Amino acid sequence: MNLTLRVWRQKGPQDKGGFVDYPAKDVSPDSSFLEMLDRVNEELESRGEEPIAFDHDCREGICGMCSMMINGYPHGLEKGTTACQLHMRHFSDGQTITIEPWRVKPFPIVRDLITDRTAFDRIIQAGGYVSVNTGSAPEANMIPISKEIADAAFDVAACIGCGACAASCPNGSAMLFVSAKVTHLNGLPQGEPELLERTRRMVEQMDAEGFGNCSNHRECEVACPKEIQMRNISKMNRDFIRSSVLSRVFGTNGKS
Amino acid sequence: MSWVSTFYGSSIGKKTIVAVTGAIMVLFLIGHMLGNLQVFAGPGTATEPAKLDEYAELLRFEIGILWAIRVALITTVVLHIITVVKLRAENSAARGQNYAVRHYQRANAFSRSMFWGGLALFAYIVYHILHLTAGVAHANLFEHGHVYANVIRSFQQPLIAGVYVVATVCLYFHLFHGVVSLFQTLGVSHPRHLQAVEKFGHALAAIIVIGFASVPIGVLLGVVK
Repeated sequence: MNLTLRVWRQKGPQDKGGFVDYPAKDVSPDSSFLEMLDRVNEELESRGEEPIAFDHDCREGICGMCSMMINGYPHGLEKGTTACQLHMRHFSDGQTITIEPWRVKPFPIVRDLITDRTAFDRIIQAGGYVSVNTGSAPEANMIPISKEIADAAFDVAACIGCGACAASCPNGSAMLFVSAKVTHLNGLPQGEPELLERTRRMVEQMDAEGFGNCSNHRECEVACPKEIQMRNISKMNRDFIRSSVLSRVFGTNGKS
Repeated sequence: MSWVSTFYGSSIGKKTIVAVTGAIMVLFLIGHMLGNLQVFAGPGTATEPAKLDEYAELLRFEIGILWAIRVALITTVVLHIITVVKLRAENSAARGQNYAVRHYQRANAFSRSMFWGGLALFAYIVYHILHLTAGVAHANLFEHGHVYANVIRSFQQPLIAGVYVVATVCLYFHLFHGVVSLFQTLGVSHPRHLQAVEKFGHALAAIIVIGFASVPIGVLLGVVK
């Protein structure tokens, strides 16, 4: 199949940037979206032109690097997949595909489709960990965790930090990402002791990075390649209110 | 008390304030709507005043309490609006350049009309107070203390009744998204209950809105005179 790509090209963070059209010829319907871009890039290079810069790493949907807006959908229209897992068979011959980088202020554009998502790393550094004493590895069965709790934690641990939630949000809010990280640890016995501090610090860092505020448009939920649910935002709100109001007013550790 | 300013400075803190002030206004609306329905009890007789006028008199049984409630309600509305304006400014700052192509899948007319719909409602509330409380918007149709007569005289003017009906439509959109959102913001929502909460949002919004709209429509149709 033959396609036209309308790609955002931007030389650097300060460059104004703009769309450039490229033909993609003889695209196999079985190739992935990134393989299709690879072939276009090979052709660009052979002509001595600058290839389209895009982030990618694992190409199996677990690293969260291949962030791009494809025809107005984060990671493309297919549900629960990243751009690297998107196959060209979902497009039709002769189609024009618009490819843009994430557009959220806290993710500055580095070049073309690559954005700097270290804002997420700083949010993790603020509280996305559990404090453990060093020493020999603990016995694996020391802390019993029920299947329900383990499953719930794993559902949110699936978050790959790709940024599609913030990129899809009409408010530029990263609350789905932060809530996934917060509830992942808050729900487990290892993370529970630091629940109050963690929630407060990660939310404060999220605000300091300049992300917007959730107003329940629910766009993030459909955009998320790992199908993380907005119930986690509700849980994070509850934990945050516990941390910054209830524990202050009642002077407890906020445990009910 | 420094935690108050820290809380209000945070994203979730501001969202909580919007949710709580919104909930207070919803409770007020339910009471206001039930009070209004007494217009259908009729104009009263030569010896007995209209039920609506009696009710209005009841609300004024202690002018100090009435003003305390008014001040509390005005504070609630002002806090709601100021907080939303702050949140919206943060949201605009967080957004990058607009996407050239963007298709929303879940954001809908309800969620996207909250800000401007809300401002329209605020403008309506100011007009409504000037009209039926202060009596200055249509001074020729207004007589202090005669609530029933004022309502009937005003809503017999199709233009005034029309403004009120349009306002209730705005209210429906604002209430539905607001009610569903406040459960989410206050941390009591769960996907298992989402459908039920959405039904509740539609039902509550519909009951309140039908209750309010029934008065101008009832007068226009001549059901109450």
